[in-house]
Amino acid sequence: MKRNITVNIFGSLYPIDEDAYAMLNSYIINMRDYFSRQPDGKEIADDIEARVAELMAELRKNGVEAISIQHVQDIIERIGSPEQMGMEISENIESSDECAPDEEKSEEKSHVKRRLFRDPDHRILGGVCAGISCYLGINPMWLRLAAIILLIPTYGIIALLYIICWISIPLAITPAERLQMKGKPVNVSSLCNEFLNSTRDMISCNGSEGLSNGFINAMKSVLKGLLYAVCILLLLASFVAIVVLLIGIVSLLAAPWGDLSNILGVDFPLFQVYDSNPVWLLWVCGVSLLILVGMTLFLAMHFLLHLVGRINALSTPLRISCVAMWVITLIVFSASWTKMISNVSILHTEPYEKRAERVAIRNAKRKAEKKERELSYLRQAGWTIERGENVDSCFTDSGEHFSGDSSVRYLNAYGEGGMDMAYTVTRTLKVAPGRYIIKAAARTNGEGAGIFAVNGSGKKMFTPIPVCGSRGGSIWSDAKIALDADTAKTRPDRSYLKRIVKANEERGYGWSEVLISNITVGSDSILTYGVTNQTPMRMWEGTWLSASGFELIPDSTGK
Amino acid sequence: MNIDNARSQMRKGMLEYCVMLILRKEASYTSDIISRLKEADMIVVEGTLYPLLTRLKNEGLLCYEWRESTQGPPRKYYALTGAGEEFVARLDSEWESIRNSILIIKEEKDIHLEN
Repeated sequence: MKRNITVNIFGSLYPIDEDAYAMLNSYIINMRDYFSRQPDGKEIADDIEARVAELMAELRKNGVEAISIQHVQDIIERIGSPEQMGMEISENIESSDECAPDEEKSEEKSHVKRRLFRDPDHRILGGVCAGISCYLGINPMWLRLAAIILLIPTYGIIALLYIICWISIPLAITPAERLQMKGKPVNVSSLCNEFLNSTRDMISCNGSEGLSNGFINAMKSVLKGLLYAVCILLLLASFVAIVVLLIGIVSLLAAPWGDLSNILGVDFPLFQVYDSNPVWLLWVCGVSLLILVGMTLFLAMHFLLHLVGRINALSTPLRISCVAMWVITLIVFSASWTKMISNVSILHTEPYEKRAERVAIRNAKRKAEKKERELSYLRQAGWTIERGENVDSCFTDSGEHFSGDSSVRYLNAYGEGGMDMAYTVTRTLKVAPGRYIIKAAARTNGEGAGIFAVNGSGKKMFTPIPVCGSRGGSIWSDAKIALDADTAKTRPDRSYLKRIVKANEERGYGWSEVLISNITVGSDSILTYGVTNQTPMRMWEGTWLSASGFELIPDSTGK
Repeated sequence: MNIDNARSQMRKGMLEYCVMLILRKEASYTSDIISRLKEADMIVVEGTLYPLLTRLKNEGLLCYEWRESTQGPPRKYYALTGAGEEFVARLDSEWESIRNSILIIKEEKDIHLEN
């Protein structure tokens, strides 16, 4: 004896057995679910449902009074499972090979490789434990118990792992996927059995609301609520923590904390982080945090929208790679963060005086290192420092070259005390005997500096550097005039001139061309030239000078 | 070798052409199309047809109207559109050329075997 109910499909009524109805219902739900993944799914599903009604109408016409489970099975076999329909039209041959509807072959292979899905039928929260235990062939209760017990000693990392699994493992939606989950072959008869089984489960669940069932259900809902709460708390906490850290790291990287604390003489907390860590570590930490936040937000949003049913799940490979990348970034971030914090805490245990001493030593060391670097640079370029008393800068500098190229190094001296500074840099060359002209670019802010040349017999020649300060200069004004005169725009050095004029926001840096002509090199072939603020003609009145672009030009214009 | 698989691949490609051939002869209900295809042994699983019809309709090759049925729900009555007619005509020539290609290849093979 079976209970009989009446279903209404598109306005027509059909009497149907209860178990047959359950099977048909699950078929149609699955079918709708399957086609909902494609754009015209609704229409296709409606058509198929109409076809089901048509076949049922045909049965009624043939004198069938109530549609039985056998009839439903026939109908399903005629119309086919959603996978078979989708497969027939899909262009993807690979996937059709995988689940081709050749019954004989699948029946021979009674055991097919299991696939990992989340189990929707036996789930408590996301079906992760049920799915994994189905994959491993164990009782899911053990896995759940283990997970809950491990929650405390792992500080909730298990919950995080659970969420990762929830996101990355797909849910077994269609009967075919459920069969694959259980390692059963996918064909028409097994699909029908699957419908039948799930139907019977459903009916038996509804039928016997025993005491034990009620208890288990209550336990399930309590467990579910608890897990939801833990997950949401965890997500919220990590989100807040990540945002706070992000703000900290960004301001740390962006602000010139080092300079600021040198100026104010105060050690900022953030400066301590900056001070006690190599820059690359800060970058690794910051960038991994950024990626982590981005990915967490994306995955969480996607997951929530998916739960609500607004969007489809990501494809499995994409999902797995996303989660893998997330985990890797998390590891990188936590490693770099831990390292950074431990470096800072070492700093914090220091007493103030010791720290101040250490900072002073470090600053002195940095300055000495810079000076050493500059000196070696000068040596490589063939320059010798003859005098360098009271020079506060490092003999060379960059950033204000007349060409506008801020990377070009030039000879430079800056003395805080002004008059006390003595600066003489020379270069000695072996050149062929003859007459030469020396051309150089230089600038200064006070009288008394010049470039000079000395030949082998000790004849010393000076040309003073015009005093222009750090604005204008003949190089700049000449370039400007030449550029304005070049109305036809034919000069080959046009772009070079343009750069000079553009330097220092079109104000120039004060460089002038300085020439020494009529230099005679004798048979000893020795020529020394350089820049100095110690000229015999005048006392030094400036505070700084720069020189660059020394050129030795053979003088062919008469003897 | 899996002959079933090869067969279903070949038929899959032909199904679209067959459906349009049926509709060129006369506009039909979906159930009529199914029974014609079943007669010709061109279809195993009925559900295959519905995604195909929807796609062809969306491409503007088919159109349909609802017609009341004496028993059961109203049914879709499919017909070819102008574009559909042109498309079948093109498919006709395509089919001829495929048939020719197969014949040529087959004959070549026969000659090789004889030698």
